[in-house]
Amino acid sequence: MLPKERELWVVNNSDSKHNLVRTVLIYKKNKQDLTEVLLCNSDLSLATSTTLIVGEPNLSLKYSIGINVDLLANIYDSDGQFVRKIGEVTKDTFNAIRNIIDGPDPKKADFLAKGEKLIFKSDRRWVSKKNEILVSQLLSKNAHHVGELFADIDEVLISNTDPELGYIIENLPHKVSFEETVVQIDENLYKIEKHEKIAIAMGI
Amino acid sequence: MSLENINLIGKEQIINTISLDDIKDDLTNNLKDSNLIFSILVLASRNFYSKNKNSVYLSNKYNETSKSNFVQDGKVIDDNIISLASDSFTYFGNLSGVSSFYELIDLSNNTQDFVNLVRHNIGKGLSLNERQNVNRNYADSEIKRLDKILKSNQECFHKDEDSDEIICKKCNQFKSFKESSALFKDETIKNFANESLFEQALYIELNKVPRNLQNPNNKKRTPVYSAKELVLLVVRACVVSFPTLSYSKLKKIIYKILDNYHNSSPIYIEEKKHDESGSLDYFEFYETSLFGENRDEDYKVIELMDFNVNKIIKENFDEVKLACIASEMKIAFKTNRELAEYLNKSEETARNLKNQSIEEMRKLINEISNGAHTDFNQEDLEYFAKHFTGTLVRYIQSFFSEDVVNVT
Repeated sequence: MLPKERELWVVNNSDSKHNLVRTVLIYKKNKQDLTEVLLCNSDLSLATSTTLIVGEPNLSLKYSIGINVDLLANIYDSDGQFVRKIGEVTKDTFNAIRNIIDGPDPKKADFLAKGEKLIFKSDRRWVSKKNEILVSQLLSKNAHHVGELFADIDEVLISNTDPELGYIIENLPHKVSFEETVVQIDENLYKIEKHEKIAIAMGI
Repeated sequence: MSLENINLIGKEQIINTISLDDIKDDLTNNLKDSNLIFSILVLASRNFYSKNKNSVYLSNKYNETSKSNFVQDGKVIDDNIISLASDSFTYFGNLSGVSSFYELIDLSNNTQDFVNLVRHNIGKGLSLNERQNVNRNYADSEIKRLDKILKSNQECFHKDEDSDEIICKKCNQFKSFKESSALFKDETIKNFANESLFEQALYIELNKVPRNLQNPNNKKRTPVYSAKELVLLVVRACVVSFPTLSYSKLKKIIYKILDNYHNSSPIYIEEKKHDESGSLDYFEFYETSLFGENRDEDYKVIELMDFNVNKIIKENFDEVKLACIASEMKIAFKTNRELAEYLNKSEETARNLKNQSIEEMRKLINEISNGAHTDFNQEDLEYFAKHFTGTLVRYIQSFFSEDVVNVT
């Protein structure tokens, strides 16, 4: 059975020395069997402002999960990482998530609770977020380059983006130097750019 | 009088003859009275205990030396194992960070996996429960300090000892905050459609009262709120709920804020230990990936930088200045008119305040870069200044992110 959009699956990656087991939401099926998934987390104390908290009756599990709209992995169906389907989210919930990521109306997700924004880097949720970025990279390792851009997510200076998503601190003294990370967007990786913008816009 | 022995399902039977579907059915039908689930918990607890028998924490917490009347695999089980299994039973699915049994079934490939995950989560539960108790104590102590303030003679508010009602005296702080708040300057808009929206507005306003981060170099804990900030909490709450405020409601919201504050606290070293069984959770390999060889030291530097940044922000930026910088950075109030409306000032005054705030921020960052506000080494100052500006931006984003509240 192949994963379908809106379904919740358990994925397992045991290629490295770590045995990674995660729950993911199937976000989009792309050509060439590439599936975009969003990483989920049942530890709701780790939820941030980019985590949508979904429980009954908005999903078919007996426990609530946080769906991280900024933690994307790309997995080939043929990778063998998809282990089993465990449930699905409702159409309304999936539509809300779509609207946050691809638009046009992020407010459609207002009925779902979110966590608090991340401010400090010593915050345990920051550590968790960085860890999960590494997880998304490992899950995506067979999808060319995908995931690598997340690694520097908190170092990225948005200089040429939509002003509503980014800002330029032009007035700061030169002594405070920001190293601009050059984000090279491969045409196949447009989705990463979008997720990155969402993450920054939402305060990650 | 001796009690009759109770036989629990043994290891071989659990691993070899019981399927995950059997466990799921049993959970659904008999959760609280399930002999199967309790047998699995005892099996996992025995295993956890034997692997951690040198743990001082474990032996202090579970120090019974007697035998229980439970028997598993032909052995009478010690009382301390039964206590551990019984306590753990309450954590699964209830204690944040400990998975529910249903989730563990979803994540398991077979019954052996499930037992391993149960064992793994017993360890997590012990650690997280201890942390939750400690945090609850800290939150309680903040509320005790607030109690003392309410019992003292205050310029801004009054509360009779036996009453739940806090009566606002419309002090200068009240007037000043009310005038500067776009939401509350017009009496007619403050009719919240329901209790939930009222609590939401209360949370948003009280969440803006600054809190202290803990200095990692201090062994003694600093209160989360200073006395001045505790008064500010009450004044802000008075504005939202004028003319009277329910003390129990105020406490409820403060506990919620402190819960989130504790969720944001630094990770504790003891939580980073590996367990060789089960799946990796949300922290378990960052230690080799996110920090260098001096992991603990590097992490402490970040904690210390955050402590300093928070202190500098608290000392130098009030709500007006934060709003001005938010406007300059286009985080909120993207025009001078919007800023003026928020500050309840003329557009020209808002523009002047904005210029003044930016100038002050520029000066402050120069001072930080020159080491005026911290004890960091010269070579670390540029990194600290960068850390400061990045954190300030996130702080401002968070501060103004929820300013629109639906009111009738």
